[in-house]
Amino acid sequence: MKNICLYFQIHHPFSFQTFRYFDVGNSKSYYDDFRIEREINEAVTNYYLPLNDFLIRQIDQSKGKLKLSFYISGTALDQFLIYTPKILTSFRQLADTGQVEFMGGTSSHSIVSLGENKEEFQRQISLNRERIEYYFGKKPQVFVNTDLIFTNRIYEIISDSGYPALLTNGCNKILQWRSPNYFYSGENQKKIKILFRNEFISNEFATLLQNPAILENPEILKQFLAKFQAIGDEEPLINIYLNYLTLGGTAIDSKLHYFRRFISKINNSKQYRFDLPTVLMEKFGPVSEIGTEEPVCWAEHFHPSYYPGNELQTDAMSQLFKLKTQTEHLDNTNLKIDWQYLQTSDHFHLMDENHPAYHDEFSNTYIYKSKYDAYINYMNILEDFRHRLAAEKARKKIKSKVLHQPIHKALFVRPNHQYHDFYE
Amino acid sequence: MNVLMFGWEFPPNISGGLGTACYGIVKGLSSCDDVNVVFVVPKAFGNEPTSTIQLISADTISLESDTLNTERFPSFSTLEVSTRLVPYLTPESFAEKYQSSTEIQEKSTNEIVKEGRKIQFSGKYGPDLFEEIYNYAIVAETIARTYQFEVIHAHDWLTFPAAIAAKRITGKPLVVHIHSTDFDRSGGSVNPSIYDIEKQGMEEADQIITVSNRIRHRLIEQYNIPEKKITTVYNAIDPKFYRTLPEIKKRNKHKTVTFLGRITIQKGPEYFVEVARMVIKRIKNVHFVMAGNGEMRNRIVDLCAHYHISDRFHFAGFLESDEVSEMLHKSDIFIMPSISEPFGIVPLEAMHARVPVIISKQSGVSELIRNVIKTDFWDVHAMADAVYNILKHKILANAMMTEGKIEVSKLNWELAAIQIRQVYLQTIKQAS
Repeated sequence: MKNICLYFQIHHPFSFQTFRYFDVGNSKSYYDDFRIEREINEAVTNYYLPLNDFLIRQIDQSKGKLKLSFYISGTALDQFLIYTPKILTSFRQLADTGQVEFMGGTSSHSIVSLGENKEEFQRQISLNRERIEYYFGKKPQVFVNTDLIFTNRIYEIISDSGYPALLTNGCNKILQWRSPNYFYSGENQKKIKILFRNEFISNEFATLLQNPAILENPEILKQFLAKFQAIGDEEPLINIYLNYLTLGGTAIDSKLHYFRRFISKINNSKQYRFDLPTVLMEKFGPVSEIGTEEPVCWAEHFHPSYYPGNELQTDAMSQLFKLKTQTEHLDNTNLKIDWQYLQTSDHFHLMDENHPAYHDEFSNTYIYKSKYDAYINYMNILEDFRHRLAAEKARKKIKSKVLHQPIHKALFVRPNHQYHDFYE
Repeated sequence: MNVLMFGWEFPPNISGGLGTACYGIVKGLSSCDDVNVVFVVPKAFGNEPTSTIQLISADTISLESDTLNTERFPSFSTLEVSTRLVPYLTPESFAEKYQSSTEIQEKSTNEIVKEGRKIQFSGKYGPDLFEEIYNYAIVAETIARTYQFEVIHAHDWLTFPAAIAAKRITGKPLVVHIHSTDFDRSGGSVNPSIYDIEKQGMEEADQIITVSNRIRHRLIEQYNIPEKKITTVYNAIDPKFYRTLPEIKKRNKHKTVTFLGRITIQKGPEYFVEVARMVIKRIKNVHFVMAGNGEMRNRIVDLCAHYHISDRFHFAGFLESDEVSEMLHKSDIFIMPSISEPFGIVPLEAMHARVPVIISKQSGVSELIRNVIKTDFWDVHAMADAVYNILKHKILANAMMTEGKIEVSKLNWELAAIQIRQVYLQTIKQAS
């Protein structure tokens, strides 16, 4: 009996608007609110709501046979909360069926795991874990890092944070001759489990769903299922990790029809069944140790050894991570939120010229025309953020000065010159 | 395959990108074994690189026929044109040109051209341009009778009458190469006479080559030319043509931002001044240099004085090709804020010289290259922002320099020549 674990990823970044160096210090918002709102509304109405309804129906019909997991990024949750709270109810309904699990990640789909700052990473992990538990009623048991980035160091930190398992991409670079369809463990004492996304089958599934025209053909499903036959009987689980968006959109009906047939084929077969990774974790142990120092990942449109990225990306990241000390004890909510959103991986993806945005001449989806534009915009925003941090620090200093002075002296404490400068 | 090619200028005696492009095309074609080019210019100055090219100077050709076929080009044979509308004219050369032109005008219009007479050409752009074009066409007839060729190839409107004359005499197919249209040069205020010549040339042509899709669309929309007649062949650069200067630059404390080109409305010099104003306010040690000449220069000087940035805004005047590479080598950023640029070879030269480049999206070259920053020509905020960031972040500047250089070194005229050869073959096939 082979177990199929289905995972769906949902992620929406807080995209930036054009931010010039000349806007630095002018209290301009970083985010393209109109675009974010439009995109999230479109995704929810055209994708998530109908898909969730469909899944609830399917779970109902399959009488507990269909099981799946979701990864919803922190930024997507924020956007749901701000713009379309009704979708959270719908996900909660899914969670309440007991057949659906939610996985944890970083609080803002951030690339913090690539930096040096362990405390920040741990903080983001626990923040997100609490949040998922609060929304969906169950503590997440599987950790999904941003873009499924994995290194030995990340494994170490996750084992310390209390997650019993983590999911990463089963690319050749890390697996080499090994099969992705087993549990593995890392090279340390804690032995938390590593799950590998079956790259071949997941990609195959995603490609099929992108050609809705051929999906009606029953041969296609047969051919797809034949690929499962190639997997040995002793291999316990097949992880299919997809972007939730691939299921919906144009030709949603034929996609869902195909998906329904896929589900019923699996449910009626004697060889396969759906299951949840948390259940399987109890049954199967790790077969071997595995590890890598160079990051592997899964990001759509990019190859698995994409990170740490090109010169521009690494520079932008290191500039961001330099703010470590200044951001340690923030109590300004706005700064805290911006600090989170600045770390979202999508900003860095746009600094690569292989990004699909730069290959479509007529694409208006992104404000950038090249990786250099993306870098410039990001650096301007970072510069503004630095100014705000400095201003915040100056403000705090004055506050403490005022507090520790006798009242008759406190009245004469003036804001220092630097603080004044930024808001002139 | 023998090609009779009409041009107007040839390096090193150039006033714009046309000559450079012609040289590249001819050189590229010489690498195709079966293509043999005879290149005609109104006036050769004797310092042209003629090792690989058969160059004919029209003023050395003795006329065979004594019939002046004035009915053929009645629209421009006796036209006087106001100076502002004539392309590529610089104010310095205006007085000089005007004097020489009056002499020629008297000669050519009042005297009857007789057999054996040679026509004088200035080979430059001036108020007597229409006269010269017309004379060039007369000579072209003689040249067309003298040489054996299968295709006629003409570069830009100045040579169209000559090419049409050659076509009518010999019946050989004509390919016209559009490096720019009058819409680009005039910034919208099109000279109807030039438009007429351009349109006539395009209509007479069997095939048209444009330097970018931007121009291709312009021909379709403004000149009403059928789409399938037009092929886009991008220009390239010839790395060997430029003086190789040491790779590693001396990092100067003072940064230089350069504008290079004619100071005319087409090139958007005011936007460069606006960028300078914004950047100078924010950064010390940055200097802006405007190299080139043109009818808008005095206005730009006034504008700089108005903004009080003259201490850091410099005018370098017209630069020869060696000076251009030196200027680029000294620059830290090159900006081309052209309002409408059919192609724009200078950004490629700048990238070759390892200079980060900012170009307007309204240029043909922006279709071809990726490792530059592209903005709208009017978006001075974006340009100023890019300037600031390139100067501030060494990583960005380095990435643009190295990747830009790699990208540019992949371009070459041979590839363009192969495409042009295809067009020739297609034209000959169509004609036969």
